[in-house]
Amino acid sequence: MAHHGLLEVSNISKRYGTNAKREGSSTLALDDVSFLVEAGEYVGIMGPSGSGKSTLLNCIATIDTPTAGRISIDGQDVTKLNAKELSTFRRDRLGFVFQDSNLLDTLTAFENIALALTIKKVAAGEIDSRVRAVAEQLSISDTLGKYPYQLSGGQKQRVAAARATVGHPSLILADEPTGALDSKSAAQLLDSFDLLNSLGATLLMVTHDPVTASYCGRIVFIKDGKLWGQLQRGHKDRTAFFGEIVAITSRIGGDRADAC
Amino acid sequence: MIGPMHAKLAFGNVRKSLRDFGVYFITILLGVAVFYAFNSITDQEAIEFLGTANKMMELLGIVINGVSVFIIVILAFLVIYADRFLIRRRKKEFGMYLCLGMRQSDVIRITALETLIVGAVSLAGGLLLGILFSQALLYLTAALFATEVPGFTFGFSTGAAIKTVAVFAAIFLVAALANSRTIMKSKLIDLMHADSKNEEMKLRSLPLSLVLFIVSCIIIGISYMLLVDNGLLEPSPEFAAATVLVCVGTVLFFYSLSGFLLRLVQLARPLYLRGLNMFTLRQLNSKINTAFLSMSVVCITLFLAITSVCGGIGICNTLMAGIEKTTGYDASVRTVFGNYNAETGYVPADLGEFGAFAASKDYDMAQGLSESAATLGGKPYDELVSESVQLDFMVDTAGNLTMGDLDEALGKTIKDYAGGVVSENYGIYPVYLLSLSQVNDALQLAGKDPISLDDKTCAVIADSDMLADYYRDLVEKRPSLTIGGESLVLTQFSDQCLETTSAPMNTGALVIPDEAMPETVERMYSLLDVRCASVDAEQQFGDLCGAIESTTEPDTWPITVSLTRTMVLEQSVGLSTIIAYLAVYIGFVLVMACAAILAIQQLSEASDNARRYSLLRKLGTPEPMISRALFAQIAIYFAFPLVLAIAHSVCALIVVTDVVAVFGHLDIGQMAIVCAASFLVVYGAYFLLTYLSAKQLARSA
Repeated sequence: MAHHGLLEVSNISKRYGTNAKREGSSTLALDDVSFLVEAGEYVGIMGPSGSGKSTLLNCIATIDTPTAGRISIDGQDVTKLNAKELSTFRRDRLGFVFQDSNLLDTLTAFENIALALTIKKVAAGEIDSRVRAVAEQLSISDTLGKYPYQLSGGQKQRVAAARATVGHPSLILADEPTGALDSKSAAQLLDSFDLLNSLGATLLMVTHDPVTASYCGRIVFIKDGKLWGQLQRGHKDRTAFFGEIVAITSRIGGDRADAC
Repeated sequence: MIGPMHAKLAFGNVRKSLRDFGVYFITILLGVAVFYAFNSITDQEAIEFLGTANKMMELLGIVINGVSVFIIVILAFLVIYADRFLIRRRKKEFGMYLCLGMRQSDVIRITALETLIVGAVSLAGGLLLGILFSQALLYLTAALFATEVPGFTFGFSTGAAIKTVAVFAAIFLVAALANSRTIMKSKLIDLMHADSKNEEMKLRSLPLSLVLFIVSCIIIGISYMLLVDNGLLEPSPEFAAATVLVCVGTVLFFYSLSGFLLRLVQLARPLYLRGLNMFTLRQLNSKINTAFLSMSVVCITLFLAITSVCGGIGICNTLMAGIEKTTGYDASVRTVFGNYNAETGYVPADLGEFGAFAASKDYDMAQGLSESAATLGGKPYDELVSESVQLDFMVDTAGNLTMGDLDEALGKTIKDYAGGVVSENYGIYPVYLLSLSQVNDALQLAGKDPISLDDKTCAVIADSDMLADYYRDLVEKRPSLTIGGESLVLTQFSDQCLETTSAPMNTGALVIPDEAMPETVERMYSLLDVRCASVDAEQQFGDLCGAIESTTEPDTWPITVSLTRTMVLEQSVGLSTIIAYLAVYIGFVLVMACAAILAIQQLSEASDNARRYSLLRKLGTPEPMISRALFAQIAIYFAFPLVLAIAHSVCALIVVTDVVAVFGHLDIGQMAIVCAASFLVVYGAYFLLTYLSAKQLARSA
C-alpha cells in the first residue's frame, strides 16, 4: 500500500470557462498537479503571478473544486463532499489565514478567535481557556479586548493565525499572509507560524515572497498550472535556503522571459 | 436624447437588479394601489346606489383629499429614500461607466430611464391592484351602509386614476432630479472607491448603554403613568410632558437597546459563546449608531398607526353599538330655556320673541310647534305627528340639592368614576328633576317598561355609560334626598335614553312623583319625543323642525336641536365609515412606510455585510447557522419597534377608552383586530422579503 500523507493532491486539473462546444475558449489553470504533505510539515507554494498557486490553495481549501483529480485530507477525499459536508469539513479540519487578515471588524480580537470555536459548538467554558492559551503562545494576550481597527497589521495577522489554529485543525492554510505587512511584522508572524509548526501544526502557505518562503521546510513550485519542481530546506539555515529560493524563482521568471 | 445604448443599459440594469428593486417596486405598487383605491371611494358613479348616504360620501371625499396630501408627502419621502439607497449601492457601477468614457449626462439619462421603467411598471401594476382594492372597498362600503350593490358594479374612477398617475409622476420626477444631483455632485474617485468606505465605528461603553437603557425604560414608564393618571381630555401640561417623555424615552430606548442586549447576553457566557450569537449582537451594535433614529421614528409611526386604527374603529363601533338605545323615537326636539352658571346661578336663556311665544303657549311644545307649522304654512303638524311626549328638565333654584350632595351621599366623587372628563366645579350644579308621569309616558312611547315608585322614593335616570356605575353604587346606598322640603329615598336607577340623539347626553336626572315637584323650580330644557305618522312624515317633520329652527318669524317655537331617527342613523354610519376609512388609509400607508424604511435599511447593510458572511462561510460556518444569525438580526430590527409601539398603543388606548366612555363603552372590536392583523401581515411580508433578499445578498459575495 502506497504511503499516505496528511494532504494528498493527486492529478488535479482546474479548467475555467468550461464549455463543451468551445473547448478552446477555456483556460487550464491547473494541469495534472500532484504532491504530498506529511503531518507536521511546513510547506510553501510558490510561483509567478497567474501560475495557478492560488487556485491550487483554493481547491485544497475546499473553496473551489478541481475539474479533475482528487484531493484527500486526513484520508478524506474532499472532492467527493457536498456543500454541507464541505462547510463542516472546513470548520473542523482546516484553519485559514488570509492576506488581509479578514477579521470581523465588529468583534474584538478575543471574539474573532473564539468564533472559530463557537461555530463548532465547543462548550463555552472551554472556549475561554483555549483562546487565552493560544493568545499567550502568539504573544497577543494584551490585544484580546481590542477591536481590529485598534490593532497593527502584524497583530491582526497574528490574531488571524490564532483563529486558524485554536480549533486544532489538521491543516492550516495561509494565502500570502505577509503580503500586506512590513518586514518586521512579517517576521513576527512567521515566527508565530514556526512556533505553531514546532508544536505540531501542519502548515501550507502560498507566497511569492522568497523571504517568507524561506521559513518553510519545503517549497513546491508551480508554473503555468503545472508542478515545476520542489525544494527541500533540509538542514540548511534560513539564509542559505533563501538563496536557493531566489535562484529558482529567477529561473522560473527567466523561463517566462524566454517564452516572450 | 436617450439613445438605444441608454435604453439597453437601463433595461439590463433593471432586470439584473430586480432583487434590489424588489422592495422599492413592491412599496410603490402598494402605495399606488392604496392611493388609487381610497381616492376612488367617493367616485359618484360607483356609489350612486347608496342614495341618501351620498352626502356623507361627499364629506368623506373632502376628508380623504385632505389626508391624501399628508400621504403624498410620506410616499414621496419613501420613494426618494429608497432611490438614494439604490444609487448609493451602485456608485461603483456608475464610476465604471464614467471610466469607460460616458459623460455624467449619460449616466443621469440611464438612471432617469431606470426610474421611468420601474415607475411605469409599478404604476401600471399598482393601478390594477388598486382597482381590485377599490372593488373590495365598494362592497365594504355597501355593507357599512347596510345596502346591497345592485348586480355587478365595476367601479373605475377616471378621476382617481388621473390623480394617482399625476401624483406619482411628480414623485418620480422629484426622485429623478434628486438622483441627478447625487450623480452630478460625486467625483469619479469617490465613486470608484465607494466600496472601501466603511461606516466609522463608533463605540459606546457598554455599562453606559445599560444605564441608558434602564433610564429609557423609566422615562417611558413615567410617561405612561402621567398619561393614564391625567387622561387626554384637555391639553394639560401633564399630557404635553407625557408626549415629550414618550418620544425621548423611545429614542433613548433604541439608542441603548443593542448595547443593553449585548451586555445582557455577555453576562450569560454560555449563551454569548454559542454559535453566531456574539456575531449577531455585535452586528446590531455596530449599526445602531445609524439605525436607532430610524427605529425610533418607525416605532412612533407604528404607534400612531395602531392607535389611529384601533381607536378610530373602536369609536365607530361604540357609536354604532349605542345607536339602538339612542334612537327610541322617530324624532326628538330640544329647546334650552336656561343655563346654570357657577357665579350667577340660574340664568334664563335669551330666546327673545321666540321665548315670549313659548311662554304664551305655557311651554307646551306640541302646541307651539303645531302653531309654528301653521304660521310657516307647511303641512299641518297633526298630519305628521301621531303621538308625542314632552319632558321638562327642571332645577330647584330655591332648594339646594347639588351634584356635590350626591357625591357626599355616596362617599365617592363622580371624578372617581369618570376621571378627568368631568368639569372642575360640577359639585355646585343643582340636580335635574323630572316628573314621573312625563318619564313614564316617554318610556311607553319608546315601548319600554315604565318606572314605578313606592311612596317617598325617587329614581335617577342617566343614559351616559360613564356614569352608570356611579349611580348604581349611589342607589345601593339608599340615600335620602331633600327635594322641595320633602325627603325622598333614592331607590332606583334607569339607564334608558329619553330622546333620539347622536350621543347619550343625559348625565343624570332625578325622577320624582309629580306632586313632589317643588314650586320653586326653573326650566332648564324641554324635550319633545315624537312618533310620526309614516316614514315620509318623519322626513317632513325633520324638514319642518329645520324650518322652524331657522325662521325669523317671531311667532314660532324656539328650537335648539332637532333630530330624526334617520338623521342620527345616517350621521353615525357616515361618521363611523369616515373614521374607519381614514384609520385604515392612514394606518396602512404608515405601516407600509415603516416596513419599507426598515427593509431598505437592512438591505443597504446587507451589502456591507456580504463580506462578513463570506468570511463566516470560508471559516466553515454551517449555512443554517448563518441563516439563523441573519434572521435574528433582521427580526430584532423589525420586532423591537413593533413591540414598543404596541406597548405605547395599549397605554394610549386605555386613555382613549376613558375619553370615549363619554359616548359609551369603547369596544375595540373585531374589525379593529382584523385591521391590525392585516397590517401585521403587511409588516410581516416586508420582514420576510427583507430576510430573503438579505440572504441572497449575503450569499452573493
